[in-house]
Amino acid sequence: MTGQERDHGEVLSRVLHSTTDQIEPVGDGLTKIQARLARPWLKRQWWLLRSEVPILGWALAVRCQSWFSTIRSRYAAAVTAGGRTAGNAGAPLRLSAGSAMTWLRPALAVAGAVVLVVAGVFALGQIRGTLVGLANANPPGTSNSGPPGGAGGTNGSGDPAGSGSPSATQRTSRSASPGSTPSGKVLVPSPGACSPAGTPPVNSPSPAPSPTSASPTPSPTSASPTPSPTPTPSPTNSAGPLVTGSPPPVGLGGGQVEAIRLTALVACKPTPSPESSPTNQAPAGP
Amino acid sequence: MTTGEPDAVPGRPIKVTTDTLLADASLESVSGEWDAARAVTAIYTTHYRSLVRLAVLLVRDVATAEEVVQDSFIAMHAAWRRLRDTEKALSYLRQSVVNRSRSVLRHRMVVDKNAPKPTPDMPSAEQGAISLLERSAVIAALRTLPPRQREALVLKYYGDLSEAQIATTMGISRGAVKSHTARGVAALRVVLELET
Repeated sequence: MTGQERDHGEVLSRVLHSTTDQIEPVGDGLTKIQARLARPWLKRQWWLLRSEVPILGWALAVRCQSWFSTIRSRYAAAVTAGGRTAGNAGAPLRLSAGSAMTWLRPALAVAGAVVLVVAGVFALGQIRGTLVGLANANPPGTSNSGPPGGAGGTNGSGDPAGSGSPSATQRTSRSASPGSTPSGKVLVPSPGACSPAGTPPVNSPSPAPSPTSASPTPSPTSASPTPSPTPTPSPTNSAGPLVTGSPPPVGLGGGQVEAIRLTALVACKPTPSPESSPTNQAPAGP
Repeated sequence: MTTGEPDAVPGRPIKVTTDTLLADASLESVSGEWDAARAVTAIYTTHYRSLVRLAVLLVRDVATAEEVVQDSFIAMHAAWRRLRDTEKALSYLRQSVVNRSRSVLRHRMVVDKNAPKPTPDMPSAEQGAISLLERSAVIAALRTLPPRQREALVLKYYGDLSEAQIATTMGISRGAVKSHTARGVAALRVVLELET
């Protein structure tokens, strides 16, 4: 370091000290520090970051400027093209596009926020529906008998109509889920549930025809025993159509259907169901 | 309130925490809080004024400088467990003051870029605060320097720090400190010769 540089350094140091010596801190800094230290931690951190946040926002806005300009140019081009096709003049269109751009950004932001909220609500609804469906499909009392029978009834039949009309099976299984009607448990997997110990595989097809053919619309091949053509409207009849609506399936003859009915009734005999008596006894009559 | 905690345990032996009780987690936390609060008070009484003046030279505003230094004290309180040393705490404070002054200047630059220009007959509040500093031609010339050169000069000639300390405080190498200092002094040479 040369002598001149040293002199410059000394001058600079003297000027800096003499200038700043006149500066006195205003107020009691220690009290302010202690008061801020008493704040919650999160508030303190936010206070420390308060000068960085606007800079971050500004940087984000600058980075997105090209994106905004692209959108603006595309929008203006679209508006101009639309205006020309409509036969309007160019200058007023540009003015309208410019005025429209003033509210386009907040509108886009609001639209994005709405889309996010709606998507979240739908996602939550689906998750909730799935959970509710799982809970109903596996009720505590019928976790072993209900779903297998129902599934066997619809899928074991091999009838696509059975899978195509899941409402009937779901209705029965869900109506049986509260556990208030033991007959409901019986009705869904009629032979399988009634004879849990010795359910022969022969009986497994028997419930299948009844739910698949238990559509509320009475088919012309249905036998006479259907007591009322409108069994479904009553809430207690949710399991009813499975048994009452017992028109023979398409691929089975009348004799086979009768045999299946008898088998099901024999299997269901030991467990009398007081609630489903009108609907269950209906097919038993003929 | 954390500063009230040392008074809440007046009977606790302080010297014991130095060696033997450091392994004790509960006492370590208590002593850490105790030391942080006391360190803030001790460093405040000895260095607060000089730190505020250092910050004033960087941000050119007394109120902002005070806020910067107070923020640095709060950050030091939060980081006291890592420091545990007064010398390190002072170095941490200097570095924090420099970094926060940079942030303030950056923020001010952004604000000035977007804010509407004030009318000439209505001086800003900041103008009154920095008028004291601008009485000196050297300070006015210092304002025109690039930020890094200004920081290096202030830390060297006001803070009387060594090149290594300046390098640590600014987060640059010693060679860069030499370069910034030499360029800053060269830029101020005309004004400094007039001052002599």
